[in-house]
Amino acid sequence: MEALDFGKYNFYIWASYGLTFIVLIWNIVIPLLAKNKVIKDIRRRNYLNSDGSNDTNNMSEETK
Amino acid sequence: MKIVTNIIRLYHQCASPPYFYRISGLWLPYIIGLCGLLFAYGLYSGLFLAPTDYEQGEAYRIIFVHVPAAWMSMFIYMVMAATGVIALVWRLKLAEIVMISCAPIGASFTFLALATGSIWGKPMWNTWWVWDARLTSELLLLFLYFGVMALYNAIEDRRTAARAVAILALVGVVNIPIIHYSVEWWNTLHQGPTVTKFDKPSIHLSMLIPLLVMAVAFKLFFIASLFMRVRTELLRREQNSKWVNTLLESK
Repeated sequence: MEALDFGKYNFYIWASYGLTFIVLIWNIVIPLLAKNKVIKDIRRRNYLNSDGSNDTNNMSEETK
Repeated sequence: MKIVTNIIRLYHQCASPPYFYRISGLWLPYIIGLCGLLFAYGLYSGLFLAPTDYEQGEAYRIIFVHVPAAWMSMFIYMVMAATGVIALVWRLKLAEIVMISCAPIGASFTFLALATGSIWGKPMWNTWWVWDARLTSELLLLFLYFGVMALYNAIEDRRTAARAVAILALVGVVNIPIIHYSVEWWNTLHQGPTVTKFDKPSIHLSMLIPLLVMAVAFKLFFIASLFMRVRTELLRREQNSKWVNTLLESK
């Protein structure tokens, strides 16, 4: 890959692009983990509530 | 009158959590796909096609990530402040969620702008950091984002927290023109604007195109990441409502 050789600036350029890559990945992975956790939490709570007699699951809160 | 009521109805419909959740879910794959294509082309044209700069040599290629990140750091702040106004005036739950979801993304791009700038500064200015106007005001922006997140987490009630955060975000808007004009108002080590000025951009087309492509890619990326965060927060806050339960049962 001769075209991607930036001589004495190699370190600086690849450090910048590497950092960019890390920041972008972080911005995808964190929301994905958060989403999975929220869905898991809601499911577990609904499961625990399902054997109780009066659950409030179907009571709609204010929607906005 | 009918038009007005229709507009109001449309506005309320778009701001309703189940509607936003559904529509953003439909758009996300297209946004991510287009964003990926633009990143691929932007990187290819930035690292392969664009010629070497006569003054800075190869080092200038950092511009293709540094400048879009810096633009986004300010753009996201403006989105946060604008949704903050909507949250304050109309008390829309969706606006509050969008506002607070902007903060971590904005902070990460501000960090990226500072870090890549520092890495660029070392070979060009022979120093990682100087306390000049541009760098200091951008650092202040990072602290504003941190302040917004800390304040939001410090207040128990989410809606009270959102109102407090909106005011802080609005006060911080004063920093945005300072960042933008800092290179003109003060004598700084940071170079002046090459794209956003009234004359023709002083950058060759072969370098401007990858820069703009990367800028659009960053913008789409922000929208995608924002939508993901907002959707999750909507699920969490609306977990007692019928639409969330129907949604989770059907999956």
